[in-house]
Amino acid sequence: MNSFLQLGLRYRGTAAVTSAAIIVALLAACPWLMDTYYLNLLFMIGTFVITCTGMNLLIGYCGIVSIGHAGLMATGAYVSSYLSTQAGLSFWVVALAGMLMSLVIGSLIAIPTIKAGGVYLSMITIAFGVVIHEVLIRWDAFTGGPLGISGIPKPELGGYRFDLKSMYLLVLAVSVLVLVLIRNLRRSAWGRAMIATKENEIAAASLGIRKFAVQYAGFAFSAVLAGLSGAIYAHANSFISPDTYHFQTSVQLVLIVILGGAGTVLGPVVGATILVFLPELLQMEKLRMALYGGIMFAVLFFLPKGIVGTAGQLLGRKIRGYAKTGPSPARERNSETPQLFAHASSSGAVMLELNGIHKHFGGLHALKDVSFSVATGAVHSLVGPNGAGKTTLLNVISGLYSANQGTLSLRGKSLNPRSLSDVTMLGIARTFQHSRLFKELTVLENVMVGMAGRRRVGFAHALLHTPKQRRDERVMEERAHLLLDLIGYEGDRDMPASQLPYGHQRMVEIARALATEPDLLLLDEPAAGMTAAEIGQLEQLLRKLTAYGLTIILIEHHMDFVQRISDTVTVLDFGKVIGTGKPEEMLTDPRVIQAYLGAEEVAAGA
Amino acid sequence: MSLVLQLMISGLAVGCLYALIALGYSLTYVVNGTLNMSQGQLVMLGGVIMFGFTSHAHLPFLVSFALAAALVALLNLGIERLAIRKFDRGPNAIEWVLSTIAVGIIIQDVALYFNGPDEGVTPSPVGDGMLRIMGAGVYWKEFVFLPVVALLLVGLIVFYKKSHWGLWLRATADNRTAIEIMGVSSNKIVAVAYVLSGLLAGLGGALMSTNYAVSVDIGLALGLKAISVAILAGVNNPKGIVAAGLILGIAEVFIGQYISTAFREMFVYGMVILVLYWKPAGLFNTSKTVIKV
Repeated sequence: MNSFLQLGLRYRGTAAVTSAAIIVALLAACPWLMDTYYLNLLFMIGTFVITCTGMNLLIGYCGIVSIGHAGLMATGAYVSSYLSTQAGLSFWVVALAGMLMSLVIGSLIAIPTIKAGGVYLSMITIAFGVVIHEVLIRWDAFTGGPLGISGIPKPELGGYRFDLKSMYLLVLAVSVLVLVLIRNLRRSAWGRAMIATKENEIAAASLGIRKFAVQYAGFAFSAVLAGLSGAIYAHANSFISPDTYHFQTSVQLVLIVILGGAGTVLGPVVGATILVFLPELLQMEKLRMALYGGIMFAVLFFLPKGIVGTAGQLLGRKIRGYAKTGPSPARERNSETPQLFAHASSSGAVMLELNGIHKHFGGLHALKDVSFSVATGAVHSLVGPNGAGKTTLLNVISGLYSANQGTLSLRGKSLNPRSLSDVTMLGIARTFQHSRLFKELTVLENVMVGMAGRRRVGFAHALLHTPKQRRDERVMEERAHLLLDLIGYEGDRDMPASQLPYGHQRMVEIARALATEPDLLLLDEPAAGMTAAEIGQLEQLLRKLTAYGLTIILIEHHMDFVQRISDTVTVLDFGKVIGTGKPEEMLTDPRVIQAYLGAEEVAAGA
Repeated sequence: MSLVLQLMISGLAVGCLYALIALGYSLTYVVNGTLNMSQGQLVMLGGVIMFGFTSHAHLPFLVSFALAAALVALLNLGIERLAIRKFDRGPNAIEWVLSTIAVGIIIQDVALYFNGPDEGVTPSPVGDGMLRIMGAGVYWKEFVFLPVVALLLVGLIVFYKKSHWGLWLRATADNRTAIEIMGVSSNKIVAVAYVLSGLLAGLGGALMSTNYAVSVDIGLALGLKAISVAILAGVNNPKGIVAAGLILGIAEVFIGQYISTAFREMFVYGMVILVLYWKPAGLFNTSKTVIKV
């Protein structure tokens, strides 16, 4: 039995494709098996799947909620209907126009709100949906007012005129296509970048991922899909009116996504099926919205991952249980890391120079006139008591904060750290004081996210899973394995990062930072919480990295470790540099001891 | 000239209501970074309860007023407990947005079920007389909003500055971890913020019903107006919200008079989006330390 299951698992991919093909074939046969009533319902499910797959991308992957997508569907529906009834253009042209207009209008509202962040997008999209509804009612000349537009022609293709059956097949084909595209996207650098940004935008930015770029890409794609679905619906139904595009419709779309399971490819299918059939089963006129609200609430409370997400989790646990018993495919380990760090710069030259850096937080003067330079290929440690300004300094170098005064230069060129993601692209990578791994992603994916900033292919490549994308993906995977080999990670690489022990989390974070191909690596207390053995491993790793020509700035409290590993030490106290020098000199300097232990202790010891 | 003055006063009257409602967002947002997306529906509920108590149950005006405010405040306490507390998981959480929207839908539909779609105006205790200022005619019941809201705001400020609850609210807004280390339950403080926010919504709704027709479907539009105010000012800036509320009220009245009533809302939201392009943190926001990702 067990061996049979294992055999099954080996062909898991094939099995999934086959069963999906069978289901799609069955669905395609539906027009000849069902009456028009049910066919209509299936058609509705299809249009919802198209819209909600886009919204799933937004909610489940990007982590932002739009409650105005009914307005974007309306845009697609009305623009295409107007053009085909008034100008007599063919469906294929007007559908494109509808998608385009939906994209343009969606972008106008999304660009500032995504930048403003947080709940702004949700708030503004609600307002957008309401305004569009008003416009549909009042702008008679274009929308036909409350009566809407009727007599919208069915699509034609080479003399053939679509009917309900063929419209259904069209929707089915488009839905399947859209689902495949989203699945491709999730398995690409774009998908990983989206999830990374959703989980922790600061950590994502530290890998060179710009929040705006990924979230806007998600929104734009969802707007196009909403426009498409609107156009298809209008031309199948041959009549549209403002009633279809209420605030309630937008809420229903959100409900479909979270009920099915945000962030799962099949979630919208399950959600749409339930929400289309539910009213038919219940036949309730009153309190229908209250019921939807109640379902939404219940899902958030009891099934936060939605139906597909929860089922997938249960199934996944079972499958992994079986899979563990089988031998894991052996991967050839490379002890050499030839192509990881290409740019070995001449050691001895100055990598980073700080000149008179000041940083205030209101009345607090966190950094006062900080100046020192970091030699290429050196390990330069920052030490000092808590609150001395070490992390603040790291934040200034990495672009998270801007300095109030002072200049920085990198490799002799003036460095103007505009933002965290910007600085990463200049070759400075960092880790954080507290672990900021992306918990939803696997260990391997976490490292691969680090390459998203530099090696991400175009959005279209990711959607279509082109050969270029596949090639790129293989290269990234190989590099990620090499980096994990480099840090000496031996465990399961396909395990979610949330299950890693703490010490391993810190090491994987370093591998992730290295994936951005930095010249300069900033480490904020990497050894905190590590066991002595793990610190030994860390020390070896840092030595390897400097041997490859990397420069390291290290904040650390383990003084013996600092003494062993550092080429230079800078001591900070109350935001001021007390001194910079060789570790053995600095760590025995009375001023440094005084900073750490206090003046009285020193006096008593003397 | 007298028309302009008349429009100004009307605008200020409706604007101070917007400010009152929008402050409800700000009160909770500064404390734990969440807000009740169903604030508009709460305002509606305050108005509908007020109308029901005075016109159907024939309760005295002030009793109905206090009851409407208290009931909505209590409801918001429940909303905090059920729809916020479990879902308040850091700055990127979206669950509370969804859960409070769900609450809004439920409130509106249940109110429709019990109350029906009718609209009504609560008779104002100041009567239907006109106030004449420099040739401009304003209804007393409209004008009275200004002193009443001013009084409420003074009460809020006193509570905020003088009571120990107010101190804790301010402290939590500043640093939530620190307040927990001091042994004060931050959950309790968040709950207080929500009660206050609900109180403002209830008062706003009850007040509103004395001059404008209230029905169960006004909630969404009101909530959106208040959101616009909050965005214009910056959600974490209470003074700015009062100013932005008044400005929006006046702008609305003038747009309705001189440009178009039909597309008034479009102008308002268009303005909000333009402000977001121009100053994402709000018009009146004093810049804190900005994190640049």
